[in-house]
Amino acid sequence: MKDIIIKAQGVTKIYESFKIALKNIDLEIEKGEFLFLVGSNGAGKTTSLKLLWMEEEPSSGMVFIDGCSTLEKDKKRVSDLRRKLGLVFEDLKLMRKKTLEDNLAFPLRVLGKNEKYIKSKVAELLGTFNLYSKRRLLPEEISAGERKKLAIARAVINEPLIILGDEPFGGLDENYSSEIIDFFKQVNFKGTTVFLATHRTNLVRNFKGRIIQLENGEIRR
Amino acid sequence: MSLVFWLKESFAGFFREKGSAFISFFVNTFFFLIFAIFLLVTYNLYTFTQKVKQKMEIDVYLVEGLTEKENEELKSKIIKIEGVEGTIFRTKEKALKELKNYLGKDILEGLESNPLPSSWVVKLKPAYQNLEKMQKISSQIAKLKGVEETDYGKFWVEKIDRLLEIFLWINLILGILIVTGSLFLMIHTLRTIRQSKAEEVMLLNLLGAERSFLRKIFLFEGIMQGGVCAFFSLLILYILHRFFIYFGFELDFLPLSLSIAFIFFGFLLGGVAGLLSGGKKLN
Repeated sequence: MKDIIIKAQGVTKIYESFKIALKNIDLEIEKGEFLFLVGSNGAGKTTSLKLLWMEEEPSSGMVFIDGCSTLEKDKKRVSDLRRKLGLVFEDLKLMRKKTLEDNLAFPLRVLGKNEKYIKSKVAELLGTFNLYSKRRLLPEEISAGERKKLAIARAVINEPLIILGDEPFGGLDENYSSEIIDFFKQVNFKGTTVFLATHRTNLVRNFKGRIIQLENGEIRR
Repeated sequence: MSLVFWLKESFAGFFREKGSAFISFFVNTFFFLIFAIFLLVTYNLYTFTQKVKQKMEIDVYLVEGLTEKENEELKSKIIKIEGVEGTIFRTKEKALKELKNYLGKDILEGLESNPLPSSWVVKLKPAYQNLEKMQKISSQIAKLKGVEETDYGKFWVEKIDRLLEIFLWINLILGILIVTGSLFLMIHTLRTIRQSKAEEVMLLNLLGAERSFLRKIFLFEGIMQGGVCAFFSLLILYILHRFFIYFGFELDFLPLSLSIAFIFFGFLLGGVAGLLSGGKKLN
């Protein structure tokens, strides 16, 4: 029996401007799966992810994450559900006035982890991404590629069940992007479900896992 | 999570949005200063009325020819009356001397004998220094043997009592207005800061921060801002006070206990404003 961790049933999303972003999407993602969502700009990738991390609600249909509806009204349960996710935003959403280590530590502080654990976990991830020597710098003081790494490190720091990434390779060259794909593979190997959206189809050309293609808000394959 | 974390976060949060935070700081400090001036005026008026009240006493004039024994008996009876704190005996000679000092020697120069009676000056406990109780005690004393007449300055007592009552109501209304105004102003300014940090609040939501976590952030930011504004307004008040003293005004500064209470009030008001400013943003 399949262990489904993400499920979308007849999901349609129409924005207030009447723009139809997604049309009747059905999707099932298994626990521990690594898959890509590809499509050109405006295909509906970001909307799909926003529905998953509950920044938007579907106009019709249902989305389930780990068996729980994203339309859950209990704020506590919504927070609990979000804590199972590791998010990489297209615009990164780093805290501009916080140092690299504080940016990384914040999700753990939100979770109420103790400072000793936070310190060691932050140091470990900063080391993995070669950012340890820059830990006291602000995001604006490091390169765009390093900022991307920081955003990815923040997404994995709380050891989430699912990682959702919106254009995690944006602005990165192929070598850098391959490095990041390799990192996600390692994370996936430990059992985390990884779902990444990108418009760069060349990066997934040799990818062995599932690739979902979106076109004008509909799944093509 | 440790208190240090929250304090650090609220301080950092304050300095993160310097523009709106400093406008908010100045506006709130100004409002707290108005409140502090109000407190200072209230405190000085209160101490003034207390000083006036301490001078509120009952003069008990004695009949002519009272023996020493009768006088002592009268004293002990007066002392036993509820609300009486103490008595001072005023001889005929002392009464005349006081009158001369008051009117000037020349006016009483032609007097052949002293027409003033001896009297007891009855001091009252603070709780009994009002019209109703003074009237009651005075009439009790007037019934005692050896008493010719009593006088408690009814006209002045009535005036002071009325003034105190008006003063109390004005104070109460002004106090409520200022506190409510400060609270709304703080809520508004904290909301302005929050709007400039809407993106950060959104991120915290997406990271799975619970409402209690966000509430704590708002609470500590409010506490911090309220406390700091109260402290600075007190500092400005102190400078203003020194300035007035320099120009010869007789003003007492707020006592230490009241100053500390004022800063704590700042923390409290800030905390309440912080919590109330969260509102729908939490969602």
